[in-house]
Amino acid sequence: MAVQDQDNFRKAQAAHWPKEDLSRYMGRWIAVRDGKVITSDLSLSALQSQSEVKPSDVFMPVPRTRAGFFIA
Amino acid sequence: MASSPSEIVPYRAGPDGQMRPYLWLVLTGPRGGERVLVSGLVDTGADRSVLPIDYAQKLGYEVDDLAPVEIGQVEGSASAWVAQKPCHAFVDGIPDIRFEIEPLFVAGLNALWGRADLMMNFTIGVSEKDRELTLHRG
Repeated sequence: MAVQDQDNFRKAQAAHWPKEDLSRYMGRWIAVRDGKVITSDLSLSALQSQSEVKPSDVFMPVPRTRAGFFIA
Repeated sequence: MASSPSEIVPYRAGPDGQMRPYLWLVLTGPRGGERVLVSGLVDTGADRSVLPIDYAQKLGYEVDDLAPVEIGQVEGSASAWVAQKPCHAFVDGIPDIRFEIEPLFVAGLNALWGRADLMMNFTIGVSEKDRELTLHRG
């Protein structure tokens, strides 16, 4: 049972991750469906307003850098 | 059904091709509403979880729910907004452990899972050698 749980967990974590190279989308938001990038835009609201985007799509920001933050 | 005491997540390649410990969380805003899947980088150096400001509206935060703060980062200081109300979260695939996040919203596109929320509910193991993240329950 524990192995089955681990499998389900791994599947859940892997299901939405895009299977393609994301470097071309750096600095943009992407809409992902079945592991494929459907479209991209500069903001989440602009992305969601595109006609090819479905409410069930997963939206991801694609950062240019891996920044560190702290409250000054 | 017995639950596994720990869960392993392999590193994934980020947009720059570097392998890092990313994790999907399911978030619901302070007033309920839709579930939002968010991929973030597990960051033991982050005091709290950080989200791009675009997520604030999607999670239903209103202006009065956010307090402006100055943050420091590698590139210098910047404006950010601390949520005054928590959103509700669970790790995708582990719905039985629920916790709250009061995110720090930033103008950039980085999502980070920090110590004040995710790591108060899971003991996190990071194996750079094996390129995997382990979530220990409790």
